[in-house]
Amino acid sequence: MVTESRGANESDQDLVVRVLRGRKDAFGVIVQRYQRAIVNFTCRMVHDYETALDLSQEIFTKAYNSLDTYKPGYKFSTWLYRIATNHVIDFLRKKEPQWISIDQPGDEGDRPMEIPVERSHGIEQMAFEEKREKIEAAIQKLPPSYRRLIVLRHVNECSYDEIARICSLPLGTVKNRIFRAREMLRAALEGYL
Amino acid sequence: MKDHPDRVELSAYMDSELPASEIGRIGRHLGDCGACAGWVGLHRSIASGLRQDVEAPADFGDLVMRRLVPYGHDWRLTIAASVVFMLFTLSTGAALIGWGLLSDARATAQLGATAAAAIDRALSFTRSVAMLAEMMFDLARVLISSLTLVLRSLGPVLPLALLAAVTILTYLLGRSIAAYRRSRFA
Repeated sequence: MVTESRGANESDQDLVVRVLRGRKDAFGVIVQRYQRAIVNFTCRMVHDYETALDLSQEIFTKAYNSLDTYKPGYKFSTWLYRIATNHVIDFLRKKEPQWISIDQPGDEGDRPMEIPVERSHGIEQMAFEEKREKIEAAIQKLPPSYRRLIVLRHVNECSYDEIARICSLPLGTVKNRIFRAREMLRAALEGYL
Repeated sequence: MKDHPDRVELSAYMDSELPASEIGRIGRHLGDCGACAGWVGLHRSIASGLRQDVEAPADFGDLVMRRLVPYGHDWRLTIAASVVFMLFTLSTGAALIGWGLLSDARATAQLGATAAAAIDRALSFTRSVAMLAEMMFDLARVLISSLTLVLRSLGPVLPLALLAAVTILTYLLGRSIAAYRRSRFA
């Protein structure tokens, strides 16, 4: 109990140092601290609770096993999210090989996107659950590389700067892709608006 | 309504990712423009359906912890190994005494002679290593003396050039190590 309360007040960096000194239990505090964020991230990415739990366990195991490569100068959550996004994207790539890489030439600028100026605000009239289901379905229609940006932004509340670090993308690209992902969501939810 | 902000900027505005001056300008525009306000409202509504509302099961942490092996030195393992070794040594000694090997004078003398020969070989090897080290030190002394003579004859230019070269090499080495560490993190 004493260890738990002590760990709860400790910084991520201090906990990492303790884990690397052989105190495995300190990692339990890290898991406790980030399990909700990671499970929510994976759940939104794969849209299946059981798979999301398996992936989350793998992510924490992977993080633990590479903890000696973590540099204390970096934010721990950014480092953990980076492991999580790479792991989930790898999983989705194996599961959904039909997705086209967003880095293919011509993808970024060749496809003009129609943006209607007027749009009614009817989504607010939907019952909460129905609305959520529709949004979840629309999220699943996004390519994984766009999906992760929207999930990191809205579910994990990461800043653009953090997302850029997590996904190894330039800040401007993050800004553009979040906008494009939002437009895809709007297009997918068009019938319900 | 003219001068609508770029939709990419509106998207960044929603996330508070613009400079304060831009936020103020777009905020004023949204007060007057129903179309842009509608766009922002729509996306805020979509975002409101994306919150952290999935809970991990109560035993999630235990399931993760069961998969992990402790880092670093495990004292329990060391103590266990030491106890096993001690028991093995004691039981071997007891067995040797029990079988009469250590109480047999001839066998004991033979064991002693073998041990002395092994120690002698080890000492002879140490002597050879010490002689080799002495030769190396002598060689190093000769080299340093020669270098000192050369440097004295050349004046202060060469030492300064050497110092600069060493500084540059150290800096480059430091940069390479830093780049390697960064790539490991990436």
